[in-house]
Amino acid sequence: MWDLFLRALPLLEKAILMTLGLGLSAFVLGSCLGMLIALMRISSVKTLKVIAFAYVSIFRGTPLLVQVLLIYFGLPHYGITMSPVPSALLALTLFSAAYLSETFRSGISSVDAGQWEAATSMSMGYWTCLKRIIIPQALRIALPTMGSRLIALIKDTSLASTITVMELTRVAEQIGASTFRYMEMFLMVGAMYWVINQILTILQTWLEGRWTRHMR
Amino acid sequence: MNTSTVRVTGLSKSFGSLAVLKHIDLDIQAGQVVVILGPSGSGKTTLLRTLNLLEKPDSGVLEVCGHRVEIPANGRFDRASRQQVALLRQKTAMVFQSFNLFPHMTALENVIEGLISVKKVPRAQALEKGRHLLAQVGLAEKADTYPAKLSGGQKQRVAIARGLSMDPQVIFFDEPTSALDPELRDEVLGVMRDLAKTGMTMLVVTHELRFAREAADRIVFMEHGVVVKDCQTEAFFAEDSGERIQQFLRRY
Repeated sequence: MWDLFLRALPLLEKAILMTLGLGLSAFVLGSCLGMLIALMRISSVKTLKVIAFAYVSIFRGTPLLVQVLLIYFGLPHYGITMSPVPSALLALTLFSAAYLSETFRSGISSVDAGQWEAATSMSMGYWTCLKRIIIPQALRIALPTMGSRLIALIKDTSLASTITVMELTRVAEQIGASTFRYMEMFLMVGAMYWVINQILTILQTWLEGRWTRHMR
Repeated sequence: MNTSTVRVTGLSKSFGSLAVLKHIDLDIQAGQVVVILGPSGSGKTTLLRTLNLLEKPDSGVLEVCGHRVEIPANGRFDRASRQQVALLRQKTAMVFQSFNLFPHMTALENVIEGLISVKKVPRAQALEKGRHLLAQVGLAEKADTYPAKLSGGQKQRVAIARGLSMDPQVIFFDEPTSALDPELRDEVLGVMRDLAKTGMTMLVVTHELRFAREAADRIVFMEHGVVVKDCQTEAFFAEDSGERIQQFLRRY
């Protein structure tokens, strides 16, 4: 197995970067979009609420693989052509935003109503209150769930292999096909996903402890 | 000259079919310490919360610190009214039963938050004022402590300092000692007494009869959403204050 690993290493190195790059960028972009959706969902404007609700319903209610295929193979019918990597990034972002928006929303709504009242009574406006008082607390509450979403997202990047993105799963498949050593290749990348996610778990636990230590 | 700090006329509020405030009129002069007493469910907390519009009344007119807000029939404030509400809130402060300190900020950061994010005071200046206010409530050494590490009494004193930071013309206290153990109440009541002596206009909803007797200029007694009695403190605690008052006083 070691010889195979050494032979595959140059390709695997690039693949790890692709997997991490896709996963982390989709997480950052998805968090921004997710926060926007969450704020729309809690706003008092009916139209915004409905749009946010429909968004979550669609992108959480359909398989990520279908979304990936729709964007890569479906959109060109309407003249929108994207290369594999941007297609995968778009699909992963839209998908994770749906889940993350619910994470943020539950975080925001579990901040005590008294926090809004204290801020309002000192004449703080809605947006200032969100920014200074509510969201900092909501993110602390949401952190464990956000960590789970990031880990899920790292694994979900494997679906980009279906549209020829050279990430871990695709590379394992290709080397497996050319050497007929599928078992070893998939065990190898399986272990790599696991190691990445263990590191992320440790990071999340550390951040959680550091970030909430004053509030306990 | 009109020296009313708070004046409300015809204030009404219902929750569903339950009328909590029924056409309340109230006039509070600058410098007065007024304690609102009454049994649970009498509407006293709701009345206090309508004064800075945390609770929106159904009808009536409010004049607080020179800002006049008339509750429109459809319940929707226009731009001018919203501005009046914002200004009114800058000139009033509220102290809550459950403190409502910001848990992610130190005591000092709690105190200066309004100065920085509402009044846009430069940070150095805000910090100096914040330290001074914490010293005033006896918590100078707790400036960098987070609320989770403070006792209930200390939290409430920080909350009072936070209220004072905005230089309010009136402070509304909503059962400030109800969530505290008896031995912690005195430190909060002590701070409130000191504040009363400085001439601060205060409106206090409480069950602390001793505080009412010692610190209040005037007692407003509410029941079933109406003001039953509104008189000087001595008159309220006098034996001829009426059967209902005597009955209430005996229960505490």
